[in-house]
Amino acid sequence: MKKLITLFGFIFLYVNTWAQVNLPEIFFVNYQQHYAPINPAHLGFSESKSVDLRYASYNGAKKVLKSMYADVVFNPIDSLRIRSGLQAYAFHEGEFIQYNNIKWLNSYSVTNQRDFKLAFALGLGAVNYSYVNNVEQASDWGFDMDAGLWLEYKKWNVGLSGKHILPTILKPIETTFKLNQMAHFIVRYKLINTLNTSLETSVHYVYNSQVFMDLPLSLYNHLVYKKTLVGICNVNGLSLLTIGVGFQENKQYHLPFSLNIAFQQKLNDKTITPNNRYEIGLHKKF
Amino acid sequence: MKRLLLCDLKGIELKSIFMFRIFCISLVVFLKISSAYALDYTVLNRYKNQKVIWAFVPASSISKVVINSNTTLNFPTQNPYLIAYFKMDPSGTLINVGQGIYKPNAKTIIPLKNDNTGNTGYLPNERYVTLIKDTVTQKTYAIEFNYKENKNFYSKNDSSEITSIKLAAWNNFPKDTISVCRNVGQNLSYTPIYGLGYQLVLYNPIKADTNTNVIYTDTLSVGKYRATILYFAASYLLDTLNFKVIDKPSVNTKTEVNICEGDYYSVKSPSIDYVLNDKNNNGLTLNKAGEYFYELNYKGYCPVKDTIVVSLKNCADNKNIISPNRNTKVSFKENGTVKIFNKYDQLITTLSAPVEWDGTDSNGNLLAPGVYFAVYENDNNAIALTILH
Repeated sequence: MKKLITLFGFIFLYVNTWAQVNLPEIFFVNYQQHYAPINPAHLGFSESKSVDLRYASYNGAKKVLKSMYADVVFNPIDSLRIRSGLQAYAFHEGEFIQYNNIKWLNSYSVTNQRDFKLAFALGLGAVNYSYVNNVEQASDWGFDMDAGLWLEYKKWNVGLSGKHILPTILKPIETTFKLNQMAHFIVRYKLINTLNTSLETSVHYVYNSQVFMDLPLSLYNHLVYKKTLVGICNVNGLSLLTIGVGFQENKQYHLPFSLNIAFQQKLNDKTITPNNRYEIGLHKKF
Repeated sequence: MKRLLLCDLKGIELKSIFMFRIFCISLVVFLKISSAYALDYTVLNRYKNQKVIWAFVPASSISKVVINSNTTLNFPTQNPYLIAYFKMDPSGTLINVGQGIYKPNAKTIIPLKNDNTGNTGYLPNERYVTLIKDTVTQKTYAIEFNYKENKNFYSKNDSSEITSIKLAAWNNFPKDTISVCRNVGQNLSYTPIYGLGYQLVLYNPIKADTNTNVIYTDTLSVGKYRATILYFAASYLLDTLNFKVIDKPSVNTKTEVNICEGDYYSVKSPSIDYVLNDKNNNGLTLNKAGEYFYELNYKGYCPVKDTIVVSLKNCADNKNIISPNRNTKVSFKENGTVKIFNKYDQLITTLSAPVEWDGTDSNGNLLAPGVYFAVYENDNNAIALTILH
């Protein structure tokens, strides 16, 4: 418990020091410790079959930005090494612009030892930009690809992935949209792992080809109590604080799925206020 | 006596045989003279102005017939009473371009008596049509004529008479490849003249496809085709058409649009030049309600023609849309400093209100489409703005 208190104290000490941009396209990825939205290789470390649903939006002026995500993970050939998944993502940028993405994910575990697992994955699919609700409705499609690598070694997890690595350009009408090429690097460490308490902390680095970020680092903390109650505390660039609560799927307590609700507050807001983001996630294992 | 009689009888027989031989020889000579004489009787008429010669060829094993002192005809057949038609080119050479007689308005071929047994054929005294194809220009003509026949074809005085002749251009297809649009009802059909039966055969670049009288282009995929016109039974190639089926461009169009007053609507598609006119061809006036006609033209595609009905709406509550290339701006009327942020909360530009923002950053560059947020300094109430091009 001392470690936990120390950790949170350390976080809040630096809360107001650095500026950080908010990327509305990405989710709080430590939800259910399911990292498939940013790294397809993590499929190899998920349950053999699962469904994940997420929704995120804002209060205030930014409520026009909405993200929706869904994925299905399954084991197509009943192998411990191979996982497949279908992933869909939609981002509504206001009333008129919509971004859609659908991908087929395949993950392969190179090694599957108890203390050492390594998986790599590819995600292939299509991406779409559309003008909707306008007198001139238009849409354009292009190919999209993700790639990822995930390593688990004892208490450590390391993930490296590239999102939208193809130089796809979409042109609905005469407008040009170039995909944000992103790289994610995550290091996760299991701080506490007792019978009743589990605490994992992660550092997440994001590279975005089109958006300059002063400090593209996030710190995630994921606490599970009695394998049921969940609490998260994230600091994004030390300027955005995310607090979340939820419960995990647990047959003992008749909880058929996992549910999380999180709220993100900008702490040193020098730009727009209010700028609060909320997110709801649901996860079901099979 | 018997011997005398015999001698006499022999003498009589010898005489009879001699006379019979004389008769036979005379007959052969007569027939040969008659036959040779018939050869000279081949040209019945000549139409000088129309450069078409009507030739009536008797039964003969001779394939060369002298028409006049300058021209020799080569007939492709030795059938009796072959009716043939000829086209004379400017040099005077006659070209056999077809055979057969067709009765107008009957859609049937009138057969000649042509059983190769030496029986003569006949032509009733009626009006006839036949076809001539110019082997140089590949154009086909129809000749309409009235035919009047005398009784005996073999007689020197026989005078089959063409009482009138009309040279009419056939419905020739263009020689060059033409473009046909799909899904706009541009079907290809072949209109027969004189009610003559024909067969239209469609080919794609690989093989024969269908037999039809009309090519319904809506059923064809985009590509190159060839169509041929054949006479039924005669399999006589009348004409060939090379065409390609092209499609309408993919455009986003609406038949009814509701636009803000001061804005305008245009029919657009990537890289397609468009022409938009009202019904009076007065140009772009789509800031007013009304019915407009437009036409899209793009190389390699069919033109798209359609109608748009434009209605206007009150956009007083819709001022948060900026369309820089339509000169639509957002007004900040109250005094103060306005900051514009993008969706990542990054500062784009700072404005001194009152001001009209045209969707550009602090360097005057046009911003990408998307949602932006404007907020007065010292005010927490941000406004979401959408830039559309």
